[in-house]
Amino acid sequence: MTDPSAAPQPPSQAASQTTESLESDAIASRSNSGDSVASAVAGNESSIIRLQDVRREFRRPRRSLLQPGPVVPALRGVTLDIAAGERFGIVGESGCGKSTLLRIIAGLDRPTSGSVQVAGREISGLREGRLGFLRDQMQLVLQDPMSSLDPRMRVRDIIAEPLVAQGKPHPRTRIVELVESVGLSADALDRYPHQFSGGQRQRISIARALAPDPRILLADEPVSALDVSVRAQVLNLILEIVERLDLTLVFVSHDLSVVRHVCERVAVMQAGEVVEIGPTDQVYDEPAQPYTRSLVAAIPHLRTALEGRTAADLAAGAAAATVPPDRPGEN
Amino acid sequence: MSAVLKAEGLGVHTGDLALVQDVTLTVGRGERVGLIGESGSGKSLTALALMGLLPEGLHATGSVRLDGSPADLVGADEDELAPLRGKRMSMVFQEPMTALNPTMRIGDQVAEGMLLHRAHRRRAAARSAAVELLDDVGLPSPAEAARAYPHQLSGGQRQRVVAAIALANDPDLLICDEPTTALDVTVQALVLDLITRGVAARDAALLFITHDLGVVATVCDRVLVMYGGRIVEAGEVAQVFTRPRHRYTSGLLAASDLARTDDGRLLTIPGSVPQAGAFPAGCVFRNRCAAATSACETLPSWVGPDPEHGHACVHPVEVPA
Repeated sequence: MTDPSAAPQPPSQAASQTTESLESDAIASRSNSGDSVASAVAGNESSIIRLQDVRREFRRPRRSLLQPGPVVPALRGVTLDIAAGERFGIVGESGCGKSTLLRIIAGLDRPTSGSVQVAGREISGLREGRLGFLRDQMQLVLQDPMSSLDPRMRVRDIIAEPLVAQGKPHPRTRIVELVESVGLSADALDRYPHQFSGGQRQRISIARALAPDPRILLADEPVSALDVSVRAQVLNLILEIVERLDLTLVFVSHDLSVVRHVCERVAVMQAGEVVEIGPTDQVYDEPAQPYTRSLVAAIPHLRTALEGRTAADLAAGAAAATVPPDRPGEN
Repeated sequence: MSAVLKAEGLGVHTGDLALVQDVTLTVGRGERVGLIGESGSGKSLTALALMGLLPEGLHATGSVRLDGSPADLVGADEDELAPLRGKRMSMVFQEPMTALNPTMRIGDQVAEGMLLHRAHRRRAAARSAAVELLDDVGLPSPAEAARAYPHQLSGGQRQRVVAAIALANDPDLLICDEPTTALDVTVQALVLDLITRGVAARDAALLFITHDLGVVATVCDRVLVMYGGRIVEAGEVAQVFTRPRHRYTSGLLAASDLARTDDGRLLTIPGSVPQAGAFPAGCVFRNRCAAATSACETLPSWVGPDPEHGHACVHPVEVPA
């Protein structure tokens, strides 16, 4: 990334329409593959999330009195454009920076440099107190529903909490409506999270995310802690809600086969960079980058296994994956 | 083919509550058998019962026999089991960080099993054998890795170390309990390859426990499907996964394949896995099964030529002739 036009933008307010489209042309020309040019341009008219050259570095504890600690780059210049109403996937292996990226989009973490715009407003320079609009517009569903639901709160308080935190009214009718919209009954409201199964807990997380009536739903591995038979139920629920409420979905997963069924477009991340981006079927069926190819080749699939694909074949496919020497240890 | 492991009527109970019931399975030399099921189906308890590692408060019933040792492993005391564990039968656990001792160097942990079972009497010989093993399982710079502590290795490398420990004494039976669930797909592929190669080189029997049907189909020849603490279907992988008979198996296949119905929704199994002890009497799957009738309230009998092939379902999925 030596392109001078990739320099971080100052956190400017409400750019005019012309500069906006010029900017997205610049983004398109900087993208990694030909496909992403097309998709970035296609997405620029109504893009709701726009990242430009986002970098995030973490500093390790110092090892010497004289020198500061070594720097670990978690994101090395990510440029993305997500259109309103799009179902967008981010895949990659642990340590690739996908969770860091999601935290930055959600305003839970700040980039070291680069710009993050949500619904046309720059968020990367804002103080926590001024992110209220973001909490209204964007909500998060996390991976492990056991640790992301407070075990000492009743379900009705959990679901009402985003509204309470924003100082909004939270009438019981609204809470009942929310809990019923995720397929639970109203008598679930008086119970505690431990009284529910994993799939039901994830439904409660989704109801909580829907409480402020957001436009964007971020999901960080929402089904990877669930059993196979329940996983499809939760995926169906997410898809149904996204469609019914016309939400933008950003779906982070390590599992390319799940992303394939949920998302229209997918970005593949490796070592803090987006290495490939495009329509999901195309990335899955004809991956352009060697890393994506190895990622797809390593998935144990029922049908190909029955056709005689052995573990040795999977390993041969996976061996093509180049593991970067300095994987950051987060995620 | 001689059976290395033979379990008959194996059950696991806590007090009056039966967690695993009536599990009958055999694994032959050189055979790779998968045990699949969702969390809470009792597959890990089955593995622990086979190894004699059940936690306090749980006890096993039935019989477990290992080829060549006269004693029944169920109810055997520690003196009888200790010489077998890590020598004749060994286990790879799911979470390599908790399976390894964080305060011991990798090389010493691999050597420990060989010293305990007198494969090598001298520490130095065991250590160099450990380095060789680490090289075998594909750790880069094995001599350096042998001096490292577990936290200095990545998840995939740790799981290779656990596999090296399990294979150190050339066991006759290797039990793997979700060995790759915590790993990335590319690392998973390498570890699966390593396990199948290690087992093939020793002509050992493999019992592979997982919830991932794709992994079972890749690794195993035969498969046992477990739900609610019972084996509900068993058979050759190609048979069970292409022509499932039990309703649970067919539902599981559709759900894990992320198959779509005509209206674009993903196929699911309604409801969720009940808590232990909350499974219905009779057929354990009947409260989630679309085909259930009053006939399912009594325990369905096993339909099939032997315990390794067949199903326990009153209304099996029709197979086109």
